[in-house]
Amino acid sequence: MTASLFSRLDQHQPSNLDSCSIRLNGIEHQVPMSMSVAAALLYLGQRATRTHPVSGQPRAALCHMGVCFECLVTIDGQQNQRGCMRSVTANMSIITTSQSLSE
Amino acid sequence: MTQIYDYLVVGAGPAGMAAGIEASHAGLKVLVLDQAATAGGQIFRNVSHTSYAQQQVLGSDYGLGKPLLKEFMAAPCDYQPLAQVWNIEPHAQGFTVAALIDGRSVSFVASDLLIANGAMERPMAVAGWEKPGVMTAGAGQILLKASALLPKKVVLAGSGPLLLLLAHQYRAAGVTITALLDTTPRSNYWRAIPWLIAGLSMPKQLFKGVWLSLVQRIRVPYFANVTDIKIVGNTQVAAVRFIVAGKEYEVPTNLVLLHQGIVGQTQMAQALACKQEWSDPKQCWQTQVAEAGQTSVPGVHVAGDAGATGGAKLAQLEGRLAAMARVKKSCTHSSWAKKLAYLALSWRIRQLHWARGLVDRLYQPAPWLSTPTGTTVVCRCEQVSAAQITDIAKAGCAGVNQLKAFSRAGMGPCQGRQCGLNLGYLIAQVQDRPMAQVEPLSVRPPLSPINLGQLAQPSDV
Amino acid sequence: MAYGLIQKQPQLRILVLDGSDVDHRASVGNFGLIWVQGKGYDFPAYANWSLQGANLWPEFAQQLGLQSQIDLAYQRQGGLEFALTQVELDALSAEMAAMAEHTQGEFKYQVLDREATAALQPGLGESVVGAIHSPQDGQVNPLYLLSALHKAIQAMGVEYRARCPADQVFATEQGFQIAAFTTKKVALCAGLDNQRLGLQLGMHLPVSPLKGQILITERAPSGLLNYASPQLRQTAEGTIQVGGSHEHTDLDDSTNLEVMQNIAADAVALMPALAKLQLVRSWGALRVMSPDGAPIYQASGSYKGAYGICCHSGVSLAAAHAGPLSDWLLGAAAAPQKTLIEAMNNDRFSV
Repeated sequence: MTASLFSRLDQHQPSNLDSCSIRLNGIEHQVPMSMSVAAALLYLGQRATRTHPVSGQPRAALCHMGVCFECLVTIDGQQNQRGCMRSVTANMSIITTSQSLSE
Repeated sequence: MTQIYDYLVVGAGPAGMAAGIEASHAGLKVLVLDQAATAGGQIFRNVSHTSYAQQQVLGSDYGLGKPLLKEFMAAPCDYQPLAQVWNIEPHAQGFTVAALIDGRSVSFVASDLLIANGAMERPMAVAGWEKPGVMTAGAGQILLKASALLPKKVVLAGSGPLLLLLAHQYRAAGVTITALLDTTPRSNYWRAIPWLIAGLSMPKQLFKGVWLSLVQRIRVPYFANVTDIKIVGNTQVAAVRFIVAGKEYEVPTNLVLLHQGIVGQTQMAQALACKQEWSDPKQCWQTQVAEAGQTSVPGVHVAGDAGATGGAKLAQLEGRLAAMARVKKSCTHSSWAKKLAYLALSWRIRQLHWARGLVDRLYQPAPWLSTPTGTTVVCRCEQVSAAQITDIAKAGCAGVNQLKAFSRAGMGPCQGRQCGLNLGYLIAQVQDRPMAQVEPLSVRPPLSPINLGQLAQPSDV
Repeated sequence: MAYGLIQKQPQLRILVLDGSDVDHRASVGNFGLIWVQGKGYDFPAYANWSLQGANLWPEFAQQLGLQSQIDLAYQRQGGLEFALTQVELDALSAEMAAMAEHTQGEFKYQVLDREATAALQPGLGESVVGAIHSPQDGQVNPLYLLSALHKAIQAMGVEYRARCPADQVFATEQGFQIAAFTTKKVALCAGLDNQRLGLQLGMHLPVSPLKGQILITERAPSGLLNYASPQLRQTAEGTIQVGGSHEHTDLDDSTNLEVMQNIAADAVALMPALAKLQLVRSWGALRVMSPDGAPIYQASGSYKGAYGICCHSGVSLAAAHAGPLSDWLLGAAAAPQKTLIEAMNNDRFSV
């Protein structure tokens, strides 16, 4: 992972938003709750969401509103979920590389 | 037994909320479905939960969503958040809408529908736009509104009021804007002059727009008349190259936000076979409407940016008018006061659309942006380039639908949302046909994702 | 047809008139099977024609692929038709036996029990009792086939005009007139519109729409499905196609929630792992159906030089159409093919 290109606006203010623990590609992180999965990835410095099935190149979310389908990640074992349409929840597992069909 | 709603509204943005309020207070059985966790649409996204600091950055217009939201939450309509509508089709009692809610497909039946699912950004297909580090200005706003995220350094590129607004908001929040690349062609300013009259009918908005526009030129590294934008980098964005007055520039950056205005999301209306028409001023397809948002299909209305784009205020008024039209349908008698209110609202909406004409013409995308060339990716989902599409168009295919069959462009998960418009432009250019005659991509379910298991096992309502 | 004709007689001046971008086109709703098993189990000529066509496909695919530089993703690794009850399996079995008889044993197949089916195709659902396997079945990407044909015919000098629908065909002294064009011969390949156009040329071409809906999923890992099947197929891109509905309708190719749900349920019953795949798009298309499901190849009795060509298996029969049927159109078909083709004219519908 690289340094994040984004920072939280409320960083230095007491926040009444809880944070929660999630696992991104196997590694545990604390992220503010109610952030979208796609936003959380940016916050953590994960700049690519997936590998494109045709070009093999990395891709990342373009629209953050559900119409570009670039933010497809595996959430809690379910593959190809739009990360921008889901909020992070406690103990969520997010995987950003393309995943084979789970049984 | 499935209950049948009198009015099913898809979308809880300003249009949907206003419609829900109006129709439910008039005594109709109303259901509002929305895909987000809280109401507000995109423009008022997360307005119920944003912090003081966020609202300071976003500005006072954003705060206007709060009283509307409050009124909506207090209204006697059924409201289902986190519902992703994936199918919409005629039904014996009107229409049936299937939505994925909490992992299960649930169907609703209603005699009348209001499609208020808003707009999306016009896809701005510049070379390298598919690299990580490129997103839309709208995405920047969503990240700010819903997740309180700000970039550290950013290049903004494109044209339109939203781009200028975002630049202003970012500056106020301390974000370093490395450069603002304005692609608005100089000729647009000349062509927009006759429309200043329309703009003057809304002096506050006009003044604000002009001020925003001028302010950016002073306060951030601003480039006007930008063409030939190329985003370069290996596995992510490293720099943006562009041309101004024949001179080539390169600005190093890891983040580029693009914007070329917004276009209505027409898929739901298309799924119901509502006639579409090409709007030359807005340079996009829109659902053809008569009075109060009535589409070509009886029982189906559109309101807000899902129809003719016009912003939050207009959306709210249109939502209310559409609901009033629905109420009129059920009531045999309507008072003089109601009739007057309806006419006044109708007139105001027409006036606001006329005023909008200035924005539409001033910020029309430059022609070079509508017709990408060479290796520029046009269909992101299936990695189909402009050159591949042009070749097939030259071989004489009938239109974008046949082009899709031959190239796979439009067959990926986004179902042509990011490429449809540009496919049309390319065909129109190569085959020398007007856009109005190049039929748009046909729409098929699912309108949003659903897996086979969920489809196979719908939930009983 | 144009492809076949121009190859056999490169000096021919051929014009293909095509409709608008949003016309009903069975060619973009095709499943992509090159299917033999079961086709014509009650119609010997069709059974033989079908098998012959499938046998001509490998060479056809290679040649067309070379000419168009498009990979058709043609495969002939055999096909499976799954049965969910013993009754179903027995019925299929009887059909195959009839086919073998009609083709003098040329048609090859095996009736597989559950164990044998599972050995060929892992991951099957509990309710699958068996399947019919035929090594002669295959699959292709139907859109690439269409694209390749478009490209190849134009490269060989066939004129193609899109958005030029044929509303009326008039007979003239020299031959025929359609819109602004005059021609000595005309072949109707307009699918469902053949019925209307056929009447103008003295031909009874009784075709009607039979809707089929298809579901297409996101890409699945390659090799999930080893064999083509009328119920399931994995494309070269990896996406899974699920189909198999038959609805008698008017000219309405819209999708329908109930049918989609049934298709999905059947697919998941056949292969439970499919449940997790996202649906990327669904499709409805109108098959061009004759009363008995077999093609109609008709030479007009009253208008010499007019022909009607109707079928619902344009992909399966593509090689046959480009080959022996084109010969027939040119009056040069070998005797055995001529007999087969003439057995599929509309005489069989006269009472």
